[in-house]
Amino acid sequence: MRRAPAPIGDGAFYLYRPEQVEESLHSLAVGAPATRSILVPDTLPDEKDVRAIERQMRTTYMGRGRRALGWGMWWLFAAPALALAIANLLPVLAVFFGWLPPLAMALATLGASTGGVVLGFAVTLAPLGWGWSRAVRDLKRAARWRGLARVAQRRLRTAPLRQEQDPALAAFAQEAEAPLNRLREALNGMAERGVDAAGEGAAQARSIAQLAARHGLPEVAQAYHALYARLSIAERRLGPSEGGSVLAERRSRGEASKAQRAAREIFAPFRIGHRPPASPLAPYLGAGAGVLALALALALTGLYLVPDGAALLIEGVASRAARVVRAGAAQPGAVVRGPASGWSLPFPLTGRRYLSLEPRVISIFSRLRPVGDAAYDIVEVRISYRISDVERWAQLDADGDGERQIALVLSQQLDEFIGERRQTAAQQVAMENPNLANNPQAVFERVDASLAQNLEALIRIFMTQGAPQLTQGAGVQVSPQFQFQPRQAVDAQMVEAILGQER
Amino acid sequence: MNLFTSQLDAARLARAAEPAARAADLDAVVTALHTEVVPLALGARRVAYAGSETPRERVWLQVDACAGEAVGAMVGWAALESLTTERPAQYRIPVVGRARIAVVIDEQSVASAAPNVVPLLDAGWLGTQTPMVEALRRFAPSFVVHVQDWTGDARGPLAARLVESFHLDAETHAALPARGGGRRLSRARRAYRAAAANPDWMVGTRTLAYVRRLGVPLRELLPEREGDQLDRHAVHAIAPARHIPTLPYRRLGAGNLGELALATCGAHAITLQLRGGSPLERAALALAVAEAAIVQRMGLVQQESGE
Repeated sequence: MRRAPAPIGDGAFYLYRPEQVEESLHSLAVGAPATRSILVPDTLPDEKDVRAIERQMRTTYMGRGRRALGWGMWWLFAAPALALAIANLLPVLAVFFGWLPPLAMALATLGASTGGVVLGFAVTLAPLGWGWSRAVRDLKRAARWRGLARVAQRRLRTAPLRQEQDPALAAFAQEAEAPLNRLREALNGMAERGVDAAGEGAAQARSIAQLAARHGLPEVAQAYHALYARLSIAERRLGPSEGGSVLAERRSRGEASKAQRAAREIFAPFRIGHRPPASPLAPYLGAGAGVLALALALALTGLYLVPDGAALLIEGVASRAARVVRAGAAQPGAVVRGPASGWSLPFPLTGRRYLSLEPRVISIFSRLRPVGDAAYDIVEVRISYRISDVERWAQLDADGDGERQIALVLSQQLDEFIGERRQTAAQQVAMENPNLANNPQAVFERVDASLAQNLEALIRIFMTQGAPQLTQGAGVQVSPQFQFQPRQAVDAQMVEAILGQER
Repeated sequence: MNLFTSQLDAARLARAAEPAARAADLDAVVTALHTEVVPLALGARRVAYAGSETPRERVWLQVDACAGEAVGAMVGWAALESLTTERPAQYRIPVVGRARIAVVIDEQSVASAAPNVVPLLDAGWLGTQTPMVEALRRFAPSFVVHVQDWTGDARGPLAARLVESFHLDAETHAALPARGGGRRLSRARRAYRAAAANPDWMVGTRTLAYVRRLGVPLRELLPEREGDQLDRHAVHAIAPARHIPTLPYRRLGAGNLGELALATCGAHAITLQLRGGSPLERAALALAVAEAAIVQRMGLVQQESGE
């Protein structure tokens, strides 16, 4: 440390290079010998001054350690809060991407629809990983600073102290007197003189820094160089602020005070009596803020509102985990009928699915007649159904494909129904027309013609008598209203896929 | 050119290449100047001082060649001639009035082998003989421009790069990226932005911009293969054709004359490394960069344009 004059502030200033002190403390911590030196231009320093400056140094390191610990604690709790928030925000954003369904689906499923479970996990856990990596970084930093503070507390006092008058410091102090006075004038007059004072101050600070370097005083050179850099920035900023307007003057005064404050901050750590921030509450504030953020995130993301005419299926944590990793079948979970509100563990810890209890429209299909070997004429029937028993529907729809199952079952049964009617009709025609008994093609032509005329009636019979019985166990009610559309020459493979048959 | 306005042509090159004519020309320009003879092992060099006796800026301009050519002599002559002439030039009067310029004159072309790959930090290979460094310390410059001519027998288009030496906060310096500005949102990018606001950093930026405005082409000096530059880890490539030593190499010290000047005098230094081209091209580029660096360091261009 060297006692040297400072351009701003009162009292004695002992300048040192912080990075060099840290390296020395590291060396001291591992047992390397280190000495403390206080070099002065004239009278030797008081022992109290030496203790005071070392105490300030320790407090600085302790304060940094506490602040880093506070940030570490914050990220420890804020990271899961962030992950929860993003996981619940993305499905909300999906609503705005309805015009691009693949993207909407990807957002709603956190990427699982495109990249599977792995991508879903990655999207969910990425914010958590990022936040916790910051926590680890801050906690390591905290440990480092606290280690330095401990070494400064315990080992520094035992290091031998050298107090000497340094002729180089004395020579520097003498040569630097004039530029230092000009620098002080510039700093004091910055509010009035603006850019001129900043420029003058920067030039003087630079020349003092170079003077210190020439005298072999790197600590002093470093501090004055930092001041030169800051005043140069002020000069650049003050330049455009100069002008006649009130706003420009206000900006100029603001920048001038910032520059003066920065000058004080550069030299403050070296001043005897400076009280660096110890931040004793920083770790608690960090932890508290983190816990609060996590609690808020849990509270907000766990809330649910179920409107009238809708229901919410909540899949439990265990069931969801088993389903996601394909270690078990889906279990239906809890059902909440609207209108209702409440709280449960949020997505993605639990699964949530809103169900509309309003009527839904689906299409079912049936074959009418074969067309060659590779195609069929089919009929598409559009029907509507509504969920009447939510619990039963929840069991059927646990995997989310309840509607598909309903459509498949009804399609298969309709196909069987029409197929049986066609065979019966063919037998009837063959009995009534013995001349056609050996001509199945002619028989089926008559049958198909009759079928086409009576198709609507057939479908109505199925919808009023067959469909309700079939869907009773699924917790849905099928409407007897329907619309139908015959389609010709549909590829046989496609038809068989629709009907869930394999060739 | 607005400071070093001397005419460089084939005739001037011929005179610079001929020892008697070279000496006569140099003697003519230094007649009215204070000079100092620096004795070296392989012959002496002169340092001529021009400019104000009460300067705000003290500039040390030195040209060194690793192999014998007359570029250094031409640059020295042109610099001194431009500073002492009555010929009008935009920045001559402010420079001569506010600065003290020390020009190291290269009077003897010493033949030696040029390396295949130009080192970014030459560890004092060029221009750091002890008497020379002592003369520099006595002068106590605030700004050093060191031109290193690494051409030798190499032939090819002219290429150049700057290696800059100035103080940076240690934490910022350590966090700088190896190349360019670093990844977005990274600590390296933040350090780069903080460092780029440093006034000494901006002198280098504006120097190259000034050279471009002069219409002088500057092609970056690069090795044939990137792997050939064995010491690329010793510097941060902060911009095309601009480098600064890394913090560990800064702490090792004496990476080049500029680093020595920074350590001993606190001087901001710009080292210009040249290779290839003709002697006239190299001399012209050296003078352009020297002019740009000096006027930017002294803030003359800023004041004029009201930046």
